[in-house]
Amino acid sequence: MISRSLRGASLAVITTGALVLTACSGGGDGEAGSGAITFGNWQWLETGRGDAMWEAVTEFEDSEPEIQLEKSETPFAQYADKLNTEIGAGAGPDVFVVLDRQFATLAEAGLLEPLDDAVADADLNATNDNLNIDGRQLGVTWEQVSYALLGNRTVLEQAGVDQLPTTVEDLIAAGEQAGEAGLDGFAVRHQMNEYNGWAYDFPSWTYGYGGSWSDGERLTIDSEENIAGVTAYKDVFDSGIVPVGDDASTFRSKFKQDQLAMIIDNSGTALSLVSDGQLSSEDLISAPLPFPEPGAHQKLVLAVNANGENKEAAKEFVSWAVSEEGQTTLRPSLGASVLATDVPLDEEFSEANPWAETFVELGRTNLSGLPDGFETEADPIMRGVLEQVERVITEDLEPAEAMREAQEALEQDLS
Amino acid sequence: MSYRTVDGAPPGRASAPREAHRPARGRGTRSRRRAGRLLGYAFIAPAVLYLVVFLVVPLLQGIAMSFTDAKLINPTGGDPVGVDNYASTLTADRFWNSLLATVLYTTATVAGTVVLGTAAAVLVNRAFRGRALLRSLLAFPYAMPTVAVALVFAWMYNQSNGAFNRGLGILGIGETGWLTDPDWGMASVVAATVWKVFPFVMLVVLAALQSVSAELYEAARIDGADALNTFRSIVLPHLAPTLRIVALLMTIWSIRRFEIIFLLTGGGPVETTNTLVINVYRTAFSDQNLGVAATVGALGLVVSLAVTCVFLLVERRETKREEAL
Repeated sequence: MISRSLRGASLAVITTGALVLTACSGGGDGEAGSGAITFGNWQWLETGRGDAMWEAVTEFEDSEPEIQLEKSETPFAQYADKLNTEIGAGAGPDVFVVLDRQFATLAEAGLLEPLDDAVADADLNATNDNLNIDGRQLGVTWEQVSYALLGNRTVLEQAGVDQLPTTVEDLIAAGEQAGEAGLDGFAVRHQMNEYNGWAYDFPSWTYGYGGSWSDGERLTIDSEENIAGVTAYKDVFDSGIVPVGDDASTFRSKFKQDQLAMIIDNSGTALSLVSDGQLSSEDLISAPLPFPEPGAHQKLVLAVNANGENKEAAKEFVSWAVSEEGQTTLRPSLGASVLATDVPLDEEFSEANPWAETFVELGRTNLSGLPDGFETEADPIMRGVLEQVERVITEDLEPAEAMREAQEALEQDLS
Repeated sequence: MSYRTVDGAPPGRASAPREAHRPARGRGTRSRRRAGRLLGYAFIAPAVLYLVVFLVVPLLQGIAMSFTDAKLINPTGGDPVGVDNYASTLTADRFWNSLLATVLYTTATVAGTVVLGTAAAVLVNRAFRGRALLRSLLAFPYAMPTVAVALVFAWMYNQSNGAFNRGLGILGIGETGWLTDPDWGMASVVAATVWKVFPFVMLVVLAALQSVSAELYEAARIDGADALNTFRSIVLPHLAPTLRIVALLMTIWSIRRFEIIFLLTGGGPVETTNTLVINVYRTAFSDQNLGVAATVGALGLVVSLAVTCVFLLVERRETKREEAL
């Protein structure tokens, strides 16, 4: 009798314990590599390209049917702020694409899950090197986008411009020809209410003259090279070829609608421009930036939330994304960008998009736009620089004086 | 004639039982009073709870955060830094520039909305054909979502293709950088805000105007007062308390207004519209520095409280003056 009672009691305790443990595990890490994971990325909302990208990403579910992907959509302008706020509060998507300057901050705060095991079998290229922090791979390259000079063939022909310019002087001349034909000549971001995008677009101007924001130990905002880049930017605005006040959304629409001749933009945008059918791939032409040196690139990083509810499944996804199968699947929707591995451009894509080759070439030489050694301070630095650049183009401030003021203010702030 | 109690009994007869039962009725009264008080507390409890949870606690947390170096991605992990944030904020040009921008924006917006709103109210208070339609049209901007207003104004202000510059072009006047020229940025944002907000003033003032007795207008007319004198001597004194309250509300709302400024200029051009609220947002999210952002917010709160106190003092003085008359 006693023995039976003890057995019954033991069984009850074990059963209860098992139930409690099962309840506590809640389908998170306890069910490694299964369940739903949320994938945060502003690119899901990009016209034309977003749907194709999501379709490519969800092919992962074919190879891992136990894991389901769910979209987390936020427009680009609010993406960084929202993601930082969510992750800072211990929430946020399980896996996400993040800008490299944001990656540095999240990595330093220990909010990213190490991916060493997940990417151990992948043939990662050098673009992933600076995502390895203190011997731990905290992210992998989602896409590294280069900047090139893009032209609308129809508009350029209408303006009598035979080929895309190779210097800033030629750019101004071509823009003026477009202006004489009643069209806008050239556009880039230039306003603080587009800070997030402008902070990535602008470094190509200073890097294009051999500049950089730091030498690894101290800021070099007021270097001669940077001043030369800002001067070129000012010259373009002073020439009157830029539709001042147009934000990126507006000037990209004008470009697609044959109202604007040239823009400097990245490979991701180039693909978006031809994705909705308004502008054909034949009408989009590309050329290296009209500067003497290579420009800067923008890196988008794929990372896993260290506070995510389903980290193992998220890492399974990363593992697939950097595999040969994953890279080949993602390649067409990521266009001409450099990916985590040296997966070549899809042949069909290359033939259909002759403009893409320029970006592939530029991807071999351009540099990170982040201030070396000050990666976690990239935002305050870029904000300080762009506030002065804004003064250069609106208040006619001398570029040298503007960069000197930025240098002094940032040295004081960061000290 | 004899006095009777409310139930009709003579006073003498009614008072005797009342005296006899006083101790018992006293307990009952106290009990009812206590129950009444508890019921009162129960009624205001949800509002108090709401204010404590969503206002007092966050406010105290914000003030506490202003003494730390908390970052956006680790909001609860900031270390105490004493008054360093206050010292660095108060010695930085950015704070004083944003305070100046706030004062300019608030002053211009309050003046614009009160003048335009009052004028519109006086206009639509008169009887004329189509008055109801005009009232609806004038109230329309207030019903529009702020984001839509900002986007429409951004399009109209566009330097190369906007409606305003096209209009100026027809008149032979050159382009103006409404949102890109530092000399015009603030004026453009104020104009958009006034257009959006003045109907609120109009509606409140209109309600006040309709409570002015017709006899006063009649008396003024008999005394030979013209329209301007009638407005100055009859209407304006009647509207004064309403206008003071409306001005206070407009001031507080202007100090804390965010969306329309952020969407139109993001604080630019060259910081000219970087009001305290925009500054808080940029410091918290762009610079990711919650500690300093909380400091700017706390200093902004002091400014708001100071303005409110001044208004309340003026209100009290005016009330006393009116009572003395």
